[in-house]
Amino acid sequence: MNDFRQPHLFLTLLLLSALWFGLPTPTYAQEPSDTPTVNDVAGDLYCPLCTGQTVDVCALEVCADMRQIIAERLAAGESPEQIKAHFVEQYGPQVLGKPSTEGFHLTAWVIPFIALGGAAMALFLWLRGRPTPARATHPIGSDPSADAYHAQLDRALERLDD
Amino acid sequence: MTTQTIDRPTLGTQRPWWMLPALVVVLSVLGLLAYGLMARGRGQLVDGPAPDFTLQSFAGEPVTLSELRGQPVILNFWASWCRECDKEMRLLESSYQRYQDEIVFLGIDYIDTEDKARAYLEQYGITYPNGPDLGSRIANDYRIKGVPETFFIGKDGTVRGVHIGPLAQADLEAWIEQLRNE
Repeated sequence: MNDFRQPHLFLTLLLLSALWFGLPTPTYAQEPSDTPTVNDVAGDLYCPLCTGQTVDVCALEVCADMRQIIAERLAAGESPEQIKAHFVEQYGPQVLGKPSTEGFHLTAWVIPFIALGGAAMALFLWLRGRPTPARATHPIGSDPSADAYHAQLDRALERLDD
Repeated sequence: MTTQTIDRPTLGTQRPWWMLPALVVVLSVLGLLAYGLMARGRGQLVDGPAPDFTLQSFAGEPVTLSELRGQPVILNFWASWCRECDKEMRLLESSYQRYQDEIVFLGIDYIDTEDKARAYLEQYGITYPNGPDLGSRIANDYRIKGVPETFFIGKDGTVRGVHIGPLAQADLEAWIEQLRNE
């Protein structure tokens, strides 16, 4: 009897232990940290040698160097803004991935809004100028100028027939 | 048969008032796009006046290009992470040792970290003035496409030519001869 049950017991224990170890480790809510990490700062900076890649994911040597400098400066107590300003001074404003708000570059910020506003206004005025069914109070063809035109046309045709 | 002219009713030929501002906006956007495309397509700087700059060298001394007028200048862009630059550094240094009384050699360190740049210069025993291109301003003015790139500037301050990629000894000697004989 025992010999018959033992394999079942063994398999049950094996299954339970597999389920236990297979369960995901419970995670607990953490308090949000105010301390910026290297990736927080690196994620806001763009690789100065490639296009559209942020420093936190860029594999180039220069980006690895930038991450190291970020870590050193954070450890020294510098703010993310100070660190970003350092890289702008070193490599230029392109590391911020957006045009500056000074001089000619300001147009890059202003023009899209002007264009959008202009397009919205043009669309609004165009829609407003279109005749809507509710506003069409008299049937098509009752326009006095069109009537006069048709009458004139009929008279001309009659004369032609004569 | 008599001919009669029929007056057709006018069909609103007057343009709405908002057409003008809309046209201005469209033209402004197109103008900016054209400017951007033209700026991108300016291409390599191969002649004309060499853009002026002041380089704060790693040795701490400022070097202003316009103050070097009267002497030919060899301007080399490099970086410590640039493996192609390795191939020409010793050649540039040996040429500097030989022609330093006749030609000014300047090195511009592009997108680099100061520690690595200094270590690199020490590794290759570079003694001619080198400094970082702060804000990539010099690189932008010279419209470089990468490193290494070397510009050859005549005594009158105009660009005589540019060499893209590592310099071979024959190329550098030919340029040096041209600059010396001007």
